[in-house]
Parts: sequence; C-alpha cells; structure tokens
Amino acid sequence: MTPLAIDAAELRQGQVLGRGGQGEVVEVNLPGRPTTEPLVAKWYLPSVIPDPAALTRLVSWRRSLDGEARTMLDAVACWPRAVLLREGRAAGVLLARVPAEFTFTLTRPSGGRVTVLRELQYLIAGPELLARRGIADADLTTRLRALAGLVSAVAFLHVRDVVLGDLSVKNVLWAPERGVYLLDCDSLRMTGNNPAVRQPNSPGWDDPVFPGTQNQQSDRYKLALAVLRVLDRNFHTRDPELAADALGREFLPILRAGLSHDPAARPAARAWLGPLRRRIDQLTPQPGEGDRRAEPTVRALAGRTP
Amino acid sequence: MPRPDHATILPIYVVCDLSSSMRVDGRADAVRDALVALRDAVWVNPIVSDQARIGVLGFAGDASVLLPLCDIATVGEVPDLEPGGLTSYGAAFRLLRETVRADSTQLAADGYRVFRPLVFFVSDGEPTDRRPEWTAEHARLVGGPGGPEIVAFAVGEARATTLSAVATSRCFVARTDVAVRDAIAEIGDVVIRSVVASSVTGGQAVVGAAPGGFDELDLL
Repeated sequence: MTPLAIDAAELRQGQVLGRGGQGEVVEVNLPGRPTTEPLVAKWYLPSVIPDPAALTRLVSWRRSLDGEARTMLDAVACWPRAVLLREGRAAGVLLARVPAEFTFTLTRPSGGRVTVLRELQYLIAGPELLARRGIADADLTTRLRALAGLVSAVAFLHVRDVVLGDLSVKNVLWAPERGVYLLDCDSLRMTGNNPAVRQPNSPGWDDPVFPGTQNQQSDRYKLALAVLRVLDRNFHTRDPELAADALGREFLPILRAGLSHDPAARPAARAWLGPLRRRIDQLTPQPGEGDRRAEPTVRALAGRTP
Repeated sequence: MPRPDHATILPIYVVCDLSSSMRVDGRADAVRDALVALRDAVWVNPIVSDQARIGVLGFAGDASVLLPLCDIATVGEVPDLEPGGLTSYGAAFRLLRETVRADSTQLAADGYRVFRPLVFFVSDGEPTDRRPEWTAEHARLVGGPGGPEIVAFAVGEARATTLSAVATSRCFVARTDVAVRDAIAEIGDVVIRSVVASSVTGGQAVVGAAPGGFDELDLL
C-alpha cells in the first residue's frame, strides 16, 4: 500500500494539468510502486500552509473504510491518497486523476480544442450561454440524475461525519452516466476537526445563518441552492418561489425547507433522493421505448455532433 | 430598479501601458496574447459571462478604449495593439473614470446591480506627465462614489513606489531577472484566475496570490 506520506523526490512528475487559487496540479507516477489508477499531485502555493495532521487524517480516514465504502468514495470524490512532502514539510497531496467521463472537449475561439472539466457551471448556465459556446444542453432527466448523484454523494459523506464546506460551480463535476465527482476534497473536514487547508468562502453560496462557519447544516443549505440553481438555470437565485413553474411544484416544499433560515428545518441530503427519483421516473420512457433522451447530450458533450 | 433575476455584475478593466517601450522585446504581443487567453478562459467558464463584464483600455501619451466593457467571450477578434508615445498616467486615470461612470450608469439602467469595479493596471515605465497632474486624476478616479479597486503591476522600468501609489488594494512588482514579456504572461494568468474566482464566488473581487516572477508590496 502507498505510504501515508511520500517525498517529492520519489515522484516522477509530468506536465502541469491546471493551476488554481491554491496551487497547481501535475501529472505524476510513482516509480517502483505500481498503482491501479492514474495519479496527479496537487502542490500548494507557498502562501497556502496546510495542516499536516489534518491532511494525514483525511488520508487515514479513507483507508479506514471497508472495501465497498472506499470504492464508493473513490467513485464520487477526488480524495487524497497520500500527503506529499517537500523538504520534510507537507506541501501537497497525491490524488487520483479525474476520470475522463467527467471531462469534455471544447473548441476555443482562438482555435484548437481544449479538454475541460465538466463542472457544475455547465449544468446551471442558461441555454444561450451554452449555445454560443457550442455546448449542447443537458436535458431535464440528465440534470435530475446529476442532482441525485450529488445528494447521494453528500449523504454518503454526511453519515460518515464529513463536512463538505465549500460547494461551488467549479468543485462539483458531473457526467451523464456517472453522477458527480467532488473536487478539492483536501479542504473537507471531519466533524469536530479543522480543515487541512482553509475552506474557501463563496459569498454567492454562503449560508446566511452560518456566514463565517461551515458545517453539515450549511451543507444542506448549499445542496438546496444547487438543486434550485440547476433546475432554474440561474447562478444567483435563492428564491424558489420565483422559479416555481420551471422547477415543478413538487420540489417547492423541500426547497423551502432546505433554504430555511432555521437550520433544524433543513432536510438531510438523503431526503432529496425520493423527490428527485420520482421526477426522473415520470420523465423516463417505459421499457421498450428506449431511453434516448440523454444521448444527444452525451454525444455533444463528448465533442461529436449528432 | 434592479431586477431580482439579474446578476450583480462585476465590471473589470484591464488598463495597459502602450507607450513606445512596449514595442521592444515582444511586450505588446505578450499583452495581446494575454487578452486572447483571457477571452478563451471566459469562453470555457460561462459563469464569468453571467457575472462579469470586461473592458480594456490602453494608454500612452493619450488613452483609448480598446475593448468596451462587454462579455469578452463574445469578442471575435482581439484588437491589435499599436504601442508608441509617452506614458501619461493622468490620461489613463481620466478616461478610466469617465468609462467606469458611464458603464456603471448603463448597467444600472439595464436593471443590474453593480459591484465595485476591479481594475488591473499594468505599466512598464514611469509616468511622463507631472506627478501632481496624475495624482490629482488618480484621486478623482478612486475618491468618488463607485471608485474602482485597483490592482497594480510594475514591470520593466516602472518603479514599485510609483505603482504602489496607483494601487488601492494590491501591488505586484516583477523581479528584475524575469523578462518583461514573461512577466506580462504571468499577469495574464493572475487576471484570468482572479476573473474566474471572482465570478465563482458570486462577483465580489477575489485577487490571487503573487505570480512566481513577482513580489507583492505591502501597501499598509
């Protein structure tokens, strides 16, 4: 098994895959330690000082799960595999590379195709924003399935005392047949513990009841916001009443509860599964008709025209 | 009246020095490449189109609007930059003040609320207009209601002390061992990351850490 902490000198580093506010992600492999999955290193900027104990706690927690739970975790979350050290100090984390299903290719205005992570923003952006970019729109069934995947992933983490904290349009990936894949899991925390790196605060997603802190109750609020925004195709809304027709009236009671300023009234993540699945069932053709609804989306997002 | 279904827009301005020194060593080409990269980055991030508007101003002896405030993803061709002339900070600040005011008025008339504008100011040289003149224009720009937050970058011959008087929130100074065109490319990366991060967090300005080839000045 890969050790809990690995020195940078043991890694063979490849190309830089991306840069973000916290650091950069680099392709890596571990010579002499064959792994079953492609790996990347996330190296923090010098200004980001991670808590090594909290990082180790995250790595150890994943290893403490039984095989089935760990497989489920790895399917929905880019969870740290090991702490990376530079000159004896925690300087990054070893992660699985994002599975290809959670990416698509896009032609840039300046030419050339670029591989893009299939972020939640593409599920919220309105049809005109997507059409201008040549991105096919996901249909309602695809949207609902992605949301069902998101609430399942959060429910899985919540029953195991994990706090998601920051939920944004860039740290949740989705794929038509795979549900969701959570990024930036190195900033998640276990209930009662501080995160390894400071959890960002996205004002557009903040919980008015807990403006300075993040906990499972604020996760529930953000989950309700995600459902509302994906179904309403609006990056800013917090008001389900304004979008009642677009949402479907059956979602109004649970959305109102999820966005309640009384944290105790907010439904647990798993409470969303019933309403979402019922709506998916209503939209899904009966056996024999064939489910062709998601196909154009899949083809187009994969960069192929129908 | 603001419309409740509209975003609160973050107006962002890139103000770049196009004096004659920008002709050398591919500096102006580096600025144009950075603007193309910015347009491409907004293209792959539709949330930015929803949340931010970006405009580009250039200045030398005079100042001009190179790209009016817009959703930059809709810009087909980034304009060619033609450097030449003096370095009038006063002209840049005057045009920026007029532009910010007109754009904010227009956005409000269209039903948008507007965040405090964010400006990325890049210069490779010292101002050629007299200090009392440009500091007076600067005071008018930042002092009034709706005055922008300015992040300043000093490259080439621009002095840290001068740009620190321009900046209102952050000031980055390129290290002398970094080629100016490379420093400009790094500025482009910071602008892209800041634009995307500000949009993701809901429109309030978020400016990232100092790029590798830069030191950040403490403005306090």
